[in-house]
Amino acid sequence: MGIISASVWAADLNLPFLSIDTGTILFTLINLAILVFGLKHFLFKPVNDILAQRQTAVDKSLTEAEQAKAEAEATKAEYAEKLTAAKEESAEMLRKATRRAQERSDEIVAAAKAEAAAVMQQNEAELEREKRRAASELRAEVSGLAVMVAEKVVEREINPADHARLIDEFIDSVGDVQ
Amino acid sequence: MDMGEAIILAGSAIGAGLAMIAGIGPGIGEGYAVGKACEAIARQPEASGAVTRTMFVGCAVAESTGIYGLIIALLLIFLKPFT
Amino acid sequence: MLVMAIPAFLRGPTDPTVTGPHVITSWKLGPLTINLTETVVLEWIVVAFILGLAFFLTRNLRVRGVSKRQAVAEMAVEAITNLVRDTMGRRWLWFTPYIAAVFCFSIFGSLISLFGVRAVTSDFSVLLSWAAVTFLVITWTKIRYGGIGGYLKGFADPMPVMLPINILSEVATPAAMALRHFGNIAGGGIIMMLVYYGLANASHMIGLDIAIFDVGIPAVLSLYFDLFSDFMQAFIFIMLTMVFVSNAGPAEEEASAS
Repeated sequence: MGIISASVWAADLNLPFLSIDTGTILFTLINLAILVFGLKHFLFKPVNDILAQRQTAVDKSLTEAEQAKAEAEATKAEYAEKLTAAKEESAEMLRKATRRAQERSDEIVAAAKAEAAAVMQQNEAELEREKRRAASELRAEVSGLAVMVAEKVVEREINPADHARLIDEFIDSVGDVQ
Repeated sequence: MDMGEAIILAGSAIGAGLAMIAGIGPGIGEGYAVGKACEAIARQPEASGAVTRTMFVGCAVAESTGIYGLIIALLLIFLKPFT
Repeated sequence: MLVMAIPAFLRGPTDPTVTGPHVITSWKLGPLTINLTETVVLEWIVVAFILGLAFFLTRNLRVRGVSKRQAVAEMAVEAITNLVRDTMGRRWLWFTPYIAAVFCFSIFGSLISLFGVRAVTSDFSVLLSWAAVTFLVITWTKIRYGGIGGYLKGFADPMPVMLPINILSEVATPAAMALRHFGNIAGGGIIMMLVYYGLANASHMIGLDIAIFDVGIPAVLSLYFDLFSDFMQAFIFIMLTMVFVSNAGPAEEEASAS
C-alpha cells in the first residue's frame, strides 16, 4: 500500500488511516449480504405482509360497505314504492267508501223522500175521503133539511121520491157551481 | 530532528493548509445552492421536500472536492507520508 | 502523589494518533492476507443490533390494534419504500431492502463512534465495498437494458476519443461516493479527537490533571460531527446510489407510467 502504509505497518498492528484491506472488504460484503437478507426477512416481509393484509381488509370492508349501501338503497326504494302503493290503495278505499256512503245516503234520502211522498199521498187520499164523506153527510143532512124546509114552506106532502130527485138535482147543480 | 525532516514537516503543514483552499469552492457553491433552494421553497412551498432532498444531494456532490482536500490535509498532517 | 493515584484515562487523550483500524488476527491465504480488523467486529455488532431491532419491532404484528413498535416498523418500511419509489420508480422497488440495509448500516455504523470506538464508516474499505456493490448494480443495469454491446459502446460515446474519460468517470462514481462518506466521517472523527485532545491539554495547562474540559463541551460539536453528519452521509450515500442506479437504466417514463 505504498508510502502510506509502510510506516504505520511497522509502528503497530494497525492498518493505515486510508487503506484498502481485502479482508475488511470481504467481511463487509458478507455482513452487508446478511443485513440485506436479514432485513428483507425480518422487517420487510412481515411488515409488507401485514400492510397487504390490511389493504385487503380495507378493500373488503369498502366493498361490503358499498354492497350494504346498495342493499339499503334497494330496500328504501322498495319501501317507498310500497308506501306509495299503500297510499294509493288507502285513497282508493277512501274514495270507494265515500262513494258508497254517498250512494247509501242518497238511497236513504230517496227512500225517505219516497216514504214521505207515500205518507203524504195517503194523507191526501184520506183527507179526500174524509172530505167526500163529510160532503155526502152534509148532502144528506142538507137534503133532509131542505125537505123539512120545503114541507114547511109548501105545507103539503109531496111524494118523497119526487122530493128526493128534486133535491138531488138541486145539490148537483149546487155542486157544479162549487 | 535533522534539517531534511524539518523541511518535510514544514512542507507537509504548508501543503495541508494549501489543500484546505479546496474548501472555498464547495463553500461558495453550496451557499449558492442553498440560496437557490430557499428561493425555490419560497416560490413553491409545497415542493419543499423534493427541493431539500435535491439540494442535499447536490451539496454532497459539491462537497466532495472539499472533502478530498480535507483528506489530503489530514494525511499530510497526521500520517506524514513523506517522512 | 495525587497525580499517581489518578487512572490514566482520566487524563484524557495525550497523544493524537491517526491510524486505521486495529488488526485482531490475520490469516494467510496464499498470496492474500485476510485481516480480521476492529472494523469487522464492530460491523458484527452493528448488524446484530440492526437485525435484533428489526426482529424486535416486528413481533406480534397485527392487522388491527397496532402497537407502538409495529407503528414504528411500518413507518420505517413505508418511508424507505416511498423514498425508493419516488427516486427510482416502481420497477426498482425490489431494491428497497438493499437501500434500507446500507442506510441502517451506515447510520448505526457511524453512530457507534458515540460509544468511544472507531466508527465502522471511518474505514475506507467498508465504504469501498458498499460503493463496489453500487458499481456492480450500475453495470448490471446497463448490461441488462442495453446488452453487452450497448454497454461497451457506451464507453465510446459520443466519440471513441472519450474512451479513457468515460472509463475514468465510470470508476470515479463509486470511488467518489466512498471517498465522500469516508472523508466526512473520518474527518469528523479526527476533528472530534483533536477537540478532546485540545481540551485535555487545556485542562492540564491550568494545572488540572483530570481532563475536566472534556466533559460536556465536545458534545456540542458532536451534535454536528457525529449525529448530523452521520445521518446526512448515510442519506446522501443511499440517494446517490439510487440516482446512479436508476439513471443507468432507461428513462423513468416507462416505469412511472404503470
